[in-house]
Amino acid sequence: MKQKTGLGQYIYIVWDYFYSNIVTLVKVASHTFTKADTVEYPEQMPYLAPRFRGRIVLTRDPTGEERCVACNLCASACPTDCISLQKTEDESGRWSAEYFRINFSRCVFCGMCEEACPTYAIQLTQDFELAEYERQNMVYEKQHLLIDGPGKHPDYNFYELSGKAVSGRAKGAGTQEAEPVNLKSLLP
Amino acid sequence: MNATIDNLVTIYIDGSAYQVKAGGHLLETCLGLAKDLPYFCWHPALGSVGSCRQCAVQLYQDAEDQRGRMVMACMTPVAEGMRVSLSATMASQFRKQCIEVTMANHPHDCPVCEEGGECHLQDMTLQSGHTQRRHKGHKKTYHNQDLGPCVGHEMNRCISCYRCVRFYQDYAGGDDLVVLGSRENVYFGRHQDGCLTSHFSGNLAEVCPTGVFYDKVVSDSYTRKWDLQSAPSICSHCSLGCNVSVGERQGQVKRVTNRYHSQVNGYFICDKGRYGFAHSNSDQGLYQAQVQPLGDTKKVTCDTLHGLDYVAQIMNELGAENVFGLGSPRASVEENFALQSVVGKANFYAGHNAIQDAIQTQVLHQLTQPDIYTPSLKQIEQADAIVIIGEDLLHTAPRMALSVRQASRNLGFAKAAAIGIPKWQDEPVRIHTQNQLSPIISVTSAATDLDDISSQCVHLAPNDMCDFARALASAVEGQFDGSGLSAKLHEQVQQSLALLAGAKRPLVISGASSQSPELIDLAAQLALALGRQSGSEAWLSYALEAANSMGLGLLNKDPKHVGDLALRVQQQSTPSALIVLQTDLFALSTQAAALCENLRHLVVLDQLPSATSDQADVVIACASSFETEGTYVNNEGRAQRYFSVHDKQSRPDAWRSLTNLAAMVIQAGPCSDAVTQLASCTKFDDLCHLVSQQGGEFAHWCDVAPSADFRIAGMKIPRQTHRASGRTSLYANENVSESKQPEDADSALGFTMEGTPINKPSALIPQVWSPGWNSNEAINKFQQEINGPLKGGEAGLRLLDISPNLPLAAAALIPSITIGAGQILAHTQNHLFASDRASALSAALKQRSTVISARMHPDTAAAMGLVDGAEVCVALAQAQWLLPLTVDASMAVDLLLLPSQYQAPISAGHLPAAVNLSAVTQEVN
Ligand code: SF4
Ligand code: SF4
Ligand code: SF4
Ligand code: SF4
Ligand code: FES
Repeated sequence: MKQKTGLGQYIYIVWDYFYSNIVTLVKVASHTFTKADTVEYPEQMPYLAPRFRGRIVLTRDPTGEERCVACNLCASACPTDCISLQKTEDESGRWSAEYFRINFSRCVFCGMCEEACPTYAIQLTQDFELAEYERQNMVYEKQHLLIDGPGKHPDYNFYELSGKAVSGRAKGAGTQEAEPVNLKSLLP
Repeated sequence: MNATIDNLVTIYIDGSAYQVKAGGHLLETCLGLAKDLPYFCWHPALGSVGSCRQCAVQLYQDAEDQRGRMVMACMTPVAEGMRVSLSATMASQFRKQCIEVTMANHPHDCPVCEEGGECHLQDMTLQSGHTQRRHKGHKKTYHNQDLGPCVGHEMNRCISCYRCVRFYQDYAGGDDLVVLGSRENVYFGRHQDGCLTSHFSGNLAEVCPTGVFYDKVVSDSYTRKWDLQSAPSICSHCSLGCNVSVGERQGQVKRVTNRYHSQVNGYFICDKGRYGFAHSNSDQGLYQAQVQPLGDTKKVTCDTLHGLDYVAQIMNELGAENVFGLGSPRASVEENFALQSVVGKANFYAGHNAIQDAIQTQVLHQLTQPDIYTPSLKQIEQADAIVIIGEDLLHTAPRMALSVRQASRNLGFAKAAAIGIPKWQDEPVRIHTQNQLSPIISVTSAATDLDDISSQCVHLAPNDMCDFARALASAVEGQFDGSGLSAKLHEQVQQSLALLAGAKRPLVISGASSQSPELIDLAAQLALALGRQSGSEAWLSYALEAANSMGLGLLNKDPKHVGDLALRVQQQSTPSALIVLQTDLFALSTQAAALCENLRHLVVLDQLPSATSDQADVVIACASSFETEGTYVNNEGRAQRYFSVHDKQSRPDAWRSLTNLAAMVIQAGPCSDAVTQLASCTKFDDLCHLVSQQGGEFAHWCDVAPSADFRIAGMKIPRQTHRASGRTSLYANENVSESKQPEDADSALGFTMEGTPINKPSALIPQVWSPGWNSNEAINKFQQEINGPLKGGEAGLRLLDISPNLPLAAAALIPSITIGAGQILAHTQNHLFASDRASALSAALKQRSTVISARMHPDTAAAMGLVDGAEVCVALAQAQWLLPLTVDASMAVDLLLLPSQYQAPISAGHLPAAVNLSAVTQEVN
């Protein structure tokens, strides 16, 4: 393209400057007549999609036991590395978390932990009101995370399917499990 | 093109030609070529049995053959011109179906499985492409067994690959882990609940490709492999120097696993090495410096620099010539060297008693003889006849016992090779050889674990062992007339002679636990005689006292021990001080109390409290081998470096405390060059450089492992895995702003996940991992060839190979033991899980340590009026020990064996000695 020079170039620049500003002004002004997307929070709660991802909780299985088996998959899936926990085990062999910590000041609510969790223990809820004056208060421990119900998956019970014997469920008593093999039997 | 070069053959895999070694099988060949081919039942150390059917490949007749047939790679020897395909549809579909069937009964419990994240079954399932369980039937379940404190059991996970029993029985000689049941209901366990008796049982967790056998100690405070911060380390529990990988999380050592070294431990370590790490986390350890100013009655804690400052003041006050140092065979070469520099060579003594010192001198002299070669553990497996004299290997050098066990099969391998059966064909070799074993002659005081594979077991008292060794050596040379020997001993010598007659690669093993320098010498004479008879180099191996006995010996070639020190301190007219490095004087020598009496100051650097640290007026807490870096020289003279696993040290490095001390000493006034040089060391590499300046065996000290400047693509080698989790959460409860990871100026390893996981030098491999290979089986991606050296070469440096023959210093005066009336000669019976401080702090090992009792031959007991089970009192000088007596017909006569046990009233360091023995009931009356 041929370069404008001298006065021509000067007029072009001024025109370009005014034109873009006028267009912007018109667009902004036109919003005066459209419906607002914002709501009067906190008086009015916004609509949240069913799969909105907010504050993370740890749920319990239908029998009321802690679901989390401390497998560490959520922690390893977490892109910000903000979950840490330690496994412990009761006398019956049931695994659970000795401590379970989420640093919400790092969490990006991506939901990877929920996706990784094999027991549906960790779930993201619709609560997004996590603001704190002190950043330190955004570190949640197990007692802050654990809720009393099963959350989104009311029926799932990992230990029913795991094959492991734990308190209240002997070997072979789970779903799709055969009686323990009798080694002394010679029957075909 | 197809010509066979040496023993190389050309094979075609999926259309590409490869030159590979003849004689192997397709599976190891493919893995050696860095190809992925799933397998379960094959193990590089156990060979092939072809039972899992997972390694199927397609084999073609010739270039025209499009259809081919399926074979199991692990059972198919490579042959010239062979054409195979790993990717052929038939074979890959077969592998997928095969694992689908395997998984049909597999429980749904990876989240609560200790193997999860490093599970060979998970890896192979993914590799085979199976993802969904289509079978809708019930899953089989099994009851579990309680297998003791170390190994856990979850039988549901079993895929019946038989690796566990093949390792446990066939490889390690255990007899209490068996396969039970019939048909498809086989069960891998014991006949009844109970602790696994093998001292190698911990390897099951690594050998079993699933989580049936898992590490219970790890499970107690479980961390997934991907979360462990790991470091390459060297086991500190015996003189063999097995390579281990240590894993930590949040400041606690979580586990110790095998780290492959082709010449040393291979794929296996013993249970002491695996479970004996608790001392490092123990709340009974020393973590703070303590000082007790003169005149005070109690020690007060202080920071380390303050404590060191106090020591520096002592040194300046008393004068350098009045400060002595006592090194330790348990401390690294660098730590001993630093202490030696601080006090000066003339004032440096070894943490040995007279006997241990004489033994160490003998060992060095013999092993540096030009005609003698000391083999590595891998080479021991090649010996075709072995004489073990005076060493209960399972308890003093356990991994060597495992190597001896493999060597016993050489006769069978040779026999099988004669009819063309390769070594890896496990079952055919066993069937063909039946129970024929290479000659192993075991000469010990009592029955040992190796008796079952020994062609001849001779149980003798220590003195008779010397006679036996002397007679056998002259018999091999053809100069034996039997004079001066009892008829029985004569006959035994003749029998040994016959057994050794055809040996081409004989080996003699002896060691420090005989507590007889003479026997060390005689073992060498025997090795030389056997070497001459077989026309080869004399092979000789010694099991030594502790992890760095050899290193201390090389540093302290003009040997001086505790007894010499006690004498010197006693003769001093001026007050003196002693700096003790990781040694309990009281366990070492009966002169300890007198020595401490004569000292003005006693300074102890240690990680665990002891009777000595209780007596000391200054205690400097120092790091365990997991928290610091250093070098041990193992029994074959191989210098191997270990590195710290902790990013936050709970106590300072001993070597750094000593360099700091040197810096404080020079501030006070002029001092020796050695102190000045030591004071200038700020990094570990500086210290290594200083060690290398001593020349001789130490000349190449900086090459033992890459220095701290080593980088790959500009990056350090990561101690963490690339998927380590929790960085922003682990310590968020303390402070939500996470701090920067500490930097490591002392090694090329970093405390982060940054860096490349490949091309690591062999000495710097914290743990093995390769894409798709999360378990320890990933080692095949690190080896030059299966069972061969690592790609980065063999780690460590063999020092004795370059050493000139070390002269035998004037033999220390070891008073001969006179047995008075009512007395008996007492010797040590070693117990792997009870003998030292470090293992005494491991709860799991403590449970496994055997019942403590004194042992005696029934005839000897009868002569002394004692019966089996009687409570006896053993008295030596002031010490008295009440313990039960066990009579043992396998033992030598006129001998009392006392268990070597941490904090026992009569410690192993005080034996052999003549002790008074009486039944307790008589005492009471
Ligand atoms: S993934 Fe689920 S079960 Fe596993 S540790 Fe996280 S919350 Fe617990
Ligand atoms: S053995 Fe492997 S596949 Fe089986 S449950 Fe354990 S981790 Fe999962
Ligand atoms: S217990 Fe483990 S090693 Fe033994 S057969 Fe089963 S899966 Fe294989
Ligand atoms: S054999 Fe010795 S060096 Fe090896 S693991 Fe056992 S105690 Fe450690
Ligand atoms: S590895 Fe080849 S059949 Fe099992």
